[in-house]
Amino acid sequence: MLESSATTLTTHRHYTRAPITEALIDIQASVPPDVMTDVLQLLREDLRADYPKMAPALEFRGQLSAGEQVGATAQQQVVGFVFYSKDQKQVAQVRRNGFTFSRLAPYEQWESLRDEARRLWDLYRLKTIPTAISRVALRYINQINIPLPMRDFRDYLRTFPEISTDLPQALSGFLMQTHIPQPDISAQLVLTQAMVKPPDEFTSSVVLDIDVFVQADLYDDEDIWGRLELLRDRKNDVFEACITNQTRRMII
Amino acid sequence: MPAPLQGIDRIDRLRHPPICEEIGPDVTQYLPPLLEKIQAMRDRSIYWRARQQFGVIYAELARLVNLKDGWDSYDAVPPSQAAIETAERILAHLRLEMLLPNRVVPSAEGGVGICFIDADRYADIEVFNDQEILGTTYRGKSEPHVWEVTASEESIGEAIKQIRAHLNT
Repeated sequence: MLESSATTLTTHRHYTRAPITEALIDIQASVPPDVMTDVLQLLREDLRADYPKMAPALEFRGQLSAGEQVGATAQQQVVGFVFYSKDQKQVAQVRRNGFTFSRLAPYEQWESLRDEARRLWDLYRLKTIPTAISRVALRYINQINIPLPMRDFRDYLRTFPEISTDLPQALSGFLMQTHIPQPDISAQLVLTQAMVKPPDEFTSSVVLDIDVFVQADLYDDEDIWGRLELLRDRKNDVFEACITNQTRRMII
Repeated sequence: MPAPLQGIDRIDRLRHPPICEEIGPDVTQYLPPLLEKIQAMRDRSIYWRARQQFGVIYAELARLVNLKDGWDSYDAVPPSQAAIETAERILAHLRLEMLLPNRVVPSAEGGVGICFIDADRYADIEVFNDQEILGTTYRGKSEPHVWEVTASEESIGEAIKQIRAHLNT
């Protein structure tokens, strides 16, 4: 049965079994040309106590060429560093083009995600002195595990690929990405949904990946973190709009 | 009159021009930015990256099904179906815990090894064909610590915890 928006968009609930597998805050920045990756490595001292494990963040570039001679070339370069907390549930990525802070399951709460991201951002900012901030994003990746047998995905999800009724309705997989402008907050929503490998044979799993971002020149911290609060509210709206009461009952 | 033989290739090319020429630069110019966007989307997320890396690990496990007797050119037996299924269960646990193995390999003694390497730290969970499971950790040339793991959820969970702690020490 279809649910009206009135039943879903009214409140933001706190779910004790929220299906969040990763929540991340991403800030894209430009740093001065003389700030090289070794400067980012200096963050290790600041982070060692809480993020003892560090690994290089690598970027791969490859090229295939075809013609009289077929060839392939690949290059990798260090673009930054990844710092892992002791339990590896919190991960900070620092790169020459920005900063990402991730919290993996179990998710705690927005305030702790925001505050830790802001603490680490302040350290990053002090080391790199960014000349421009061009994008801030908030992204929540949910994995909704639906017990089998199941009648219809629509019993659990309100945004779902529409299959012609002239075709069989059984799905063995799907990947759907929609880009939806959010003009009232000058943002974009990228909503990605995909069937993924479930944890066991009694379950079907769908990822609901909600990425809301603002692409604009941002000038100060108040602007960045103020925008992130707006994005957080919007992310909650989107999540509520995408799930049904049956899903709510599973995660409440 | 049939086309001369030397002309067939040309005729076929005219009928089926290479698609990259047909769609031309107007369309193909959009492809690299799109691919970069998808790449960036995946790279930023630890979850999506781990899923992709686990996909590679699952493919390594799937390949073990095809091994024959003497796969190592000596007398090694291939992993049994039961060992592969147990290894798959352990991988499911690892995926939930986001602890990525480096390799999944066949064991010369018959079974499946799930291996972890971080600098000079090594760990593995080895599932033998007789369903015995052993956990191993060591560092450099130190004596290995080996313990028995059972197929229970608790024991597998505990082994994963020990391996994570060893790799992070």
